[in-house]
Amino acid sequence: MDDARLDTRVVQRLYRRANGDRWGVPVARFGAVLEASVSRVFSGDSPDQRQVERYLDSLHLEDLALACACADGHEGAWEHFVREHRPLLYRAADAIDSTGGARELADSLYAELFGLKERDGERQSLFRYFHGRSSLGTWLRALLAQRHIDRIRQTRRLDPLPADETPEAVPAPVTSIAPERARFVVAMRRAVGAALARLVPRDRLRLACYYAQNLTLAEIGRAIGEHEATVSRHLTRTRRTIRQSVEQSLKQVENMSDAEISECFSSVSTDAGPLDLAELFGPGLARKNTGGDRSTDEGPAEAGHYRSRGEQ
Amino acid sequence: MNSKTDRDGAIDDMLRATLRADAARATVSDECIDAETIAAWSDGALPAASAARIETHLSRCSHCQALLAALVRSAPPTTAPSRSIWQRWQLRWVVPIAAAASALALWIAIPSDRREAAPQIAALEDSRQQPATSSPAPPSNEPAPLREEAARNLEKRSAQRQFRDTTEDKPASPAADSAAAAAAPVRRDRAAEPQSLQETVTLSREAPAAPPLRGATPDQASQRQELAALEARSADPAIRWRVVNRTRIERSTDAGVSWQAVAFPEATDLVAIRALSTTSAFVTTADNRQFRTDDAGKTWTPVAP
Repeated sequence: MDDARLDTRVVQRLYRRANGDRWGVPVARFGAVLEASVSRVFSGDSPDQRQVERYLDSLHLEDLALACACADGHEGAWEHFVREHRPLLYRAADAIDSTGGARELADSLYAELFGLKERDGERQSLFRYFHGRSSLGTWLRALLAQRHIDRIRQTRRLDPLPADETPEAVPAPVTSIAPERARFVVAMRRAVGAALARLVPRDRLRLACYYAQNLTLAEIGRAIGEHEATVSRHLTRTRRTIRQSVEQSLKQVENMSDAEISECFSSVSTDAGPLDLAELFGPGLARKNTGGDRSTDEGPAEAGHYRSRGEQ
Repeated sequence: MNSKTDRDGAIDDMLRATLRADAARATVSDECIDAETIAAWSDGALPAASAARIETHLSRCSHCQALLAALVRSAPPTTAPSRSIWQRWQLRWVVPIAAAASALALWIAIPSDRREAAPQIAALEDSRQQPATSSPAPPSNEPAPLREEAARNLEKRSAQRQFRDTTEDKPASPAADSAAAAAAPVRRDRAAEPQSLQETVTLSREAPAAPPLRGATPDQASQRQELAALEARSADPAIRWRVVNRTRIERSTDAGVSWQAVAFPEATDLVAIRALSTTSAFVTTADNRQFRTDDAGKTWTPVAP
């Protein structure tokens, strides 16, 4: 849907709902913002009128009108925005980085939202990227989170990697251990990799959030819309499934005896060794840049015990 | 290593090593999710198919997982009650339970022959005090029609607020509508209750618990409930105070029809508000500090604990 022309009655109705006149946003301007939102979401599709209206009705219209007015430089709207959202954004910044680093990001975000940059004599406000699909607050937090992650990646690219994190150091030194044990470790990695690749996306996401991103059960629950008890139950089930899958794979694919399977598990308990998941999950994640995220590198969780809210 | 527990432990170690190493090699691809989309996904605003696509990408992309983790960590706390549920329960029920216990104790203590005589004594006393107790209704300076009109006005305002809340929450499904409808009578009843002219503190959340859009989660719904307004009414029914989104204070001088923002000196979570008079109010922060204003919110002074 490249050229989205909206019915003027629909625009008028949504404009009233959005209280657009509160900020003096012209109806035509608001209509253009709605059209931009529709174009973005239905890009390449041809939705019918009902689909479009249903989508438009689901938007955070008041936030969209406020963002539109702020982008246009309406003083009252900007004051309202600062009063309403500044405390939220600062709190979010403190939550992301308790050392205060993210506060600078929040401030620079304000500058970009205000539109300090100009192109062809026009202010370029970040608000033009807000399409009303989420609340303004969530969008701001997401922007801040993205800036935070980008900054970490940049810092990481400039810093020399610690010796134990260099790509050379990442694979376990298989050659330095006994040949038999090396066979067990390699077999285990293959089996675990295959088991991980077979998981449904949600199970994989839970595992990644818990083990890699170090989120608590409550935080994972908030991210994917589950209760923390449900998250805990699913994590336990997934780990059990992986263990069973690994046992089966070692038995049937690697033709190992029970004693050898035991040895396999023993070998990884002392040398877990990482897998390259990108290889397992296929070419969907074509890598362009290297870098990483140290924000989540906060030390491992206790084995076999999932952290709950109280243990954060 | 034969026990399942030990093997689970080994898998645990291996998952940690594998997934953390993958996160350390996080990279950006063309498919990575932008801030606007992950915000929409997080708010449950995407259609099921799009949400599933995003989830699949998130499950494989360490960079986007880090973004999601930062977004989740930045979320405002969802629970910061000033008092525990147990404490609130205690306060709510302590009076009726004590009264019931006293009545039971009296019933047991008083001999049955005196119990039978008691109504006669009460009747005698009633007849003696007839002029003073002839009206069982609580004394009121307002004539009955005025009280009814006030109740009607309150009910109307409650309905307006309900409509506003409903439109703000955008219930896009019949389930959401029915949830809002189910919540409405409760709010009407509350609004129609006679308002005490003394200090009133409303700790209940007034926003309807309408479920959010497609794919929205119970947690997100509860988050919305948490962010609803706390309202306090002063001695003058027209003057009201409220805390919105736990971040800002607003004051109304027309019984809640319109609200004016009140500046507060600190950027902190506000969990309770109490109106002392038309110009004085107390607010309680999430870390249990209290602030007081006596000039309708122009200045706030910390109150010593």
